[in-house]
Amino acid sequence: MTQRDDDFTAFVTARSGSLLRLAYVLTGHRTDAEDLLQVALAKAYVAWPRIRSANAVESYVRTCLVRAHFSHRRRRRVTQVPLSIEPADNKSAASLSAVDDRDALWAALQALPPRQRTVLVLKFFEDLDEASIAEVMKTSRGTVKSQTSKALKTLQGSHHLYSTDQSRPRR
Amino acid sequence: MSEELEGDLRELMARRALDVGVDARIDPHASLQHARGALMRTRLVIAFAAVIAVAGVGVGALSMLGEDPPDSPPVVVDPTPDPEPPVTAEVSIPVYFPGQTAQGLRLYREFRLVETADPLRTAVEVAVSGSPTDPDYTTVWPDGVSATASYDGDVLTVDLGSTADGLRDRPDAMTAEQAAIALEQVIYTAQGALGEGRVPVQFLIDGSRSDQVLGQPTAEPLANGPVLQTLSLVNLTTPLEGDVVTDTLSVSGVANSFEANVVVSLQRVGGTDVVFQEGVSAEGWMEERLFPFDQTFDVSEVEPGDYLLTAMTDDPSGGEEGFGPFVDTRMITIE
Repeated sequence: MTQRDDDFTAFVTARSGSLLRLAYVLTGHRTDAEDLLQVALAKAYVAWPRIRSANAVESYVRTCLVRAHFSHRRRRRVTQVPLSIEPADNKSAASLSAVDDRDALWAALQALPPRQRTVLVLKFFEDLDEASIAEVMKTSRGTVKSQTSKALKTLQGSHHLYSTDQSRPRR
Repeated sequence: MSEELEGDLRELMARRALDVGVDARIDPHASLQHARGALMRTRLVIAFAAVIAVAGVGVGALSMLGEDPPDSPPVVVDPTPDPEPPVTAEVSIPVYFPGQTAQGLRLYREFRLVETADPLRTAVEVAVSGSPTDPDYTTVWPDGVSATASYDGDVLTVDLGSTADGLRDRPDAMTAEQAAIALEQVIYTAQGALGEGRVPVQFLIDGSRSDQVLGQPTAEPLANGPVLQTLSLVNLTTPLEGDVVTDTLSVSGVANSFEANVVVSLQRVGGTDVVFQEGVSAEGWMEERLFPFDQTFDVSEVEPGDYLLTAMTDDPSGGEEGFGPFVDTRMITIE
């Protein structure tokens, strides 16, 4: 074991849990999340001499994770997005159980284009500010802002609970 | 309404994150094996490209790519000696790689120092099968692709081969944007390595013309895409990724930026401490090309450590208009 190996395994032991949760919220799939994280960790290992200070390693892995996530088109998306929850006829939105609501919102989140989903995850799960999100995604703050509002609008539109017009006929 | 949704999203993500288990971890030793494999592959791909280019010549030392720490296993290269080896020379070749920018995938240029008898061939080989030195750049070619190139005084010919499936159609995993930039990457690399200007490029697959490569039309020789719509509008040449710098930092590159102003800054890694941020004048702007810039900074008083050097195009609107600036970065160490 070299110094690099020691540092690397120590980092994986300490931080892989939290990075795995991020990868899971990004991808929505356990296996995809592990694959994505392994790829990001391997990149970090290759780049280790450059990023060895602890702070840089974690942000580097996170950046690799995020960029790898939206740079590859994910074939699973088409087949594995759960169908949105359809309330039974005449049922009011409020009578849906909280579990169904969450499933519906999760499904809607998974159905967003990868970049929009990524922006939301970095904002609401990682609590990053606009500037940091822009840096991680290597894009501008303006793009982050517009992608966020686009994503929220889509979720509002697709999710009955946030619809302003409760009497509107649902699909 | 929006606050309610935002609150729900926070709660939902936090809750679903626990699906993976509070104690879930990646096995560090399995991860290390995987990572070591990746490091070896990175090195071998590059070594392989160079060996192909000088096939039959005993190439012992490959002086390329700064990062090769002493703790790494050596790459052993032992091709059969040729009775009459072609003349090899150590040359610096340009290779373009795609990187994500505010305006989608654009090409960035890296220089590689390689020992080769055929710089053109080596350059296109590295472009399709090598990895960029800068981790911010990427590769879009499928695994297992190789390339050779030749020039007949009129047209550059790039012959592609693949150990995997055909290269004619765009793979499912590849976007149209990636396919387009993949071809531009080879065109710009071949033109740069040849050094004869903007020569058209004819693509072949396994020695034959094909109506398309990766789903892009290639029946006729192709001109390069417009410079300002294909290249990143800022591209650092020096320093190189991972360079160790003492006393003076020489920053050079090419750009096409508003009023020729390139914003160069140096920031401590893992901190918010900005050592400097200055405008550097490139030799021009507005025309359909990139202009050189060059500036030396005194870093003798800078505290030793790891730093991020950033060069970006000037965006007087601060990102409010248009797409925001183009950026190129290098991690360096100051000693």
